[in-house]
Amino acid sequence: MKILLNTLLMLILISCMGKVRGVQTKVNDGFSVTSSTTTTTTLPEIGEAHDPEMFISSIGMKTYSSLNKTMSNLTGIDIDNTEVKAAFNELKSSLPNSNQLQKYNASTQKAVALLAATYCDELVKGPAAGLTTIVPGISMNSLDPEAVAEGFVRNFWGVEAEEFQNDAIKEFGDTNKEIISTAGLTNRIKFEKVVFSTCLGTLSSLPIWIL
Amino acid sequence: MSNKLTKLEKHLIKQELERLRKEDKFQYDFIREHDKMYSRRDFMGLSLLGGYSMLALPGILSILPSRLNAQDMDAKCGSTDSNAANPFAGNIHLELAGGACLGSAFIPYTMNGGNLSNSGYAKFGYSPAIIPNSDNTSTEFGAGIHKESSFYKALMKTFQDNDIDPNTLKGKLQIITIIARSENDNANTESSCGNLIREITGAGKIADIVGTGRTVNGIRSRSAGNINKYSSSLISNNPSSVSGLVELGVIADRLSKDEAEKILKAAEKMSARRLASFKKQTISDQLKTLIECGYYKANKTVFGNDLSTISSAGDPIYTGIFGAADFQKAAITKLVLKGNARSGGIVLSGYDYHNGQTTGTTSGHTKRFEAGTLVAKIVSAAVKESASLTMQVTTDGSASCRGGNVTGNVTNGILTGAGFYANRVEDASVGMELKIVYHPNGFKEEFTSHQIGGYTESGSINLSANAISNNQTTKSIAMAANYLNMHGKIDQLDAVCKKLGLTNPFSDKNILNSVLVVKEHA
Repeated sequence: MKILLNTLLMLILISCMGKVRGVQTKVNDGFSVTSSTTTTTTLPEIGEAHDPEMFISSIGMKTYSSLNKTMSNLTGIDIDNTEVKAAFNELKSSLPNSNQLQKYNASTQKAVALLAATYCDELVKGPAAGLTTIVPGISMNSLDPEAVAEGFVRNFWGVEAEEFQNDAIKEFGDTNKEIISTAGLTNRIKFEKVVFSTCLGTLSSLPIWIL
Repeated sequence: MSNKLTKLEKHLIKQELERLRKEDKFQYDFIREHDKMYSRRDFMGLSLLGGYSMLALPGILSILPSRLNAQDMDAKCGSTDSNAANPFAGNIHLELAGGACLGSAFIPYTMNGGNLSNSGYAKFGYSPAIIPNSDNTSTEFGAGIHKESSFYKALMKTFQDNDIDPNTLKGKLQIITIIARSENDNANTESSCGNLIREITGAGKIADIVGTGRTVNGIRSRSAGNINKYSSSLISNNPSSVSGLVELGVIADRLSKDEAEKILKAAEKMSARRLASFKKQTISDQLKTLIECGYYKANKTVFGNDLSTISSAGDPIYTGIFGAADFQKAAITKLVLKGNARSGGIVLSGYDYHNGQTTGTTSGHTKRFEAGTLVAKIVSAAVKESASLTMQVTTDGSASCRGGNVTGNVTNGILTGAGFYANRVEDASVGMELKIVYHPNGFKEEFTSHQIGGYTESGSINLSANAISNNQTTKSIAMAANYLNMHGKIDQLDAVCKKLGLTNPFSDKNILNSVLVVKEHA
């Protein structure tokens, strides 16, 4: 009887699916990035019947506190780290205070980038163990920008489509090869620049703050 | 368009199904069990195919031009050049927190422009010795203002301090009194039109709204309309609050400007790619543009502007007017006048002065001198920048007088308020707000009125005078309507309201005309 009821319930749900669409939500609040699926009602297309300026979205952005936690979990830098705390308090008013994408603007993006930069700066300064968790086998003397990009992209953007991740690895890898092509840089400086900029690029991008 | 799928579309559908099989089992199983699909519409309905382009699949994007060039992006997102001309008047909302009595400076009139009774004037502080008349009232800036009032003396002194002859402002600077009731605490009142102004002008070159408060609106009171649509940036008295809008902070410690630009542009590019992969049903084109422009403008403002063109620090116009110590108000003024922000909010506190004092720093005279000084400083900056400006001066509630001490107060070496009674009672019935407009070219027509609404002869707000007398939200929309009229765009009021989820209360022309006093600028 119970099985029959469950089957009936499933059938009812499936019959309703013509009006709902699966929307992926991502939770990357830690190194073990998980993915879950929720359903939302189909949102109307913008057409003549709608205000052309209407903003429609079934996705949102993380608020300042969940963004802070996400960056902390991904980089392994404590949320109470002195530098992070100071930066967060200074940037808080410019970071998103609601999930509504409508409030996103250039100031928001700037604040996201500056908070990400603080975490990345601490990651570069911090114990090597934190970094090797993200980029296993990373070495100052045999630095491979693409391998560094692979570590950050796979760990930070693990829920994204494989092809997109591969494109990102190439993009960040190539950019960093260009950055360290300047003559006269020591291995340490090259290492710090590549780690910092890859971390900054991945941590300030849309896959991190979208909800 | 043929209903038959192209080879590329078939390929895209196959790829999307493969992606779903790996990443979204639930959706994949649902599609498999779905009735057989035949047309392009069937596939689009299941999000297997994008509506207008092949944006659905990130991998495919790599073979398509993924970004518009800088010129196209500037056209799409708006200029970020801090020196570019600003086609709109900068807007500053000055909030006098506590309940100021502006009627103790600006002359209150009845609906028809008639005088109040002596007891009515007494409520605003005018003793029989100084009852407003043509000799003691100045109308050089539009609204009648009592020459003995501290506000008037502050205006004149500040213009003089900044080498501005008040005669040169005639016809260009117009002050209008708004007779509308507000309650004693307007923290939750929609008495600001900041969002409406932002909606009219489009995004600021660097920020939308800037203010002295750490609030959505930059001030205490709320903006009419969807308050979450736009956010404000806090400007403190620390120059870093402005430099932070365009500087790289910790990024500059690790990377050169050129290196930072490269990596942040890579982040911008990948974010745009990810954004493009969202289906139309998930996120509207407008929001996609908003986010795309957010990245583009963040990078453009950081890498395309010199801080000296944005910050008031070290700018002789602003340090000369405001002094180096008052960075906060100078910075907000410059950001707004240059169009780097669209609306600014400044809160002055201590206007809860129903204490009966006629002297000292907390007296009504002193506080109104402070407010008048700030208004004149902001106007002086607009004059020196040849920039147009609109201001709202609001307060929460008001304070009336009940006779008593008429001793004047010496503020900054100037005797002010001689003959005025002291403010003794919290009293919203004597409320008054100001709308101030300045345009360097003046206005096409003479203003026919400098007061919206009016008082009864006994000195209380006539609450049935018009649509805004007892409704702060409607009043804010009326302020936006006057802003639109100043720019010759009053026909856009309906659309602007709609965008913020408001109903235009002035669709009837007669109702609109009862609150429209600002003329189109020359």
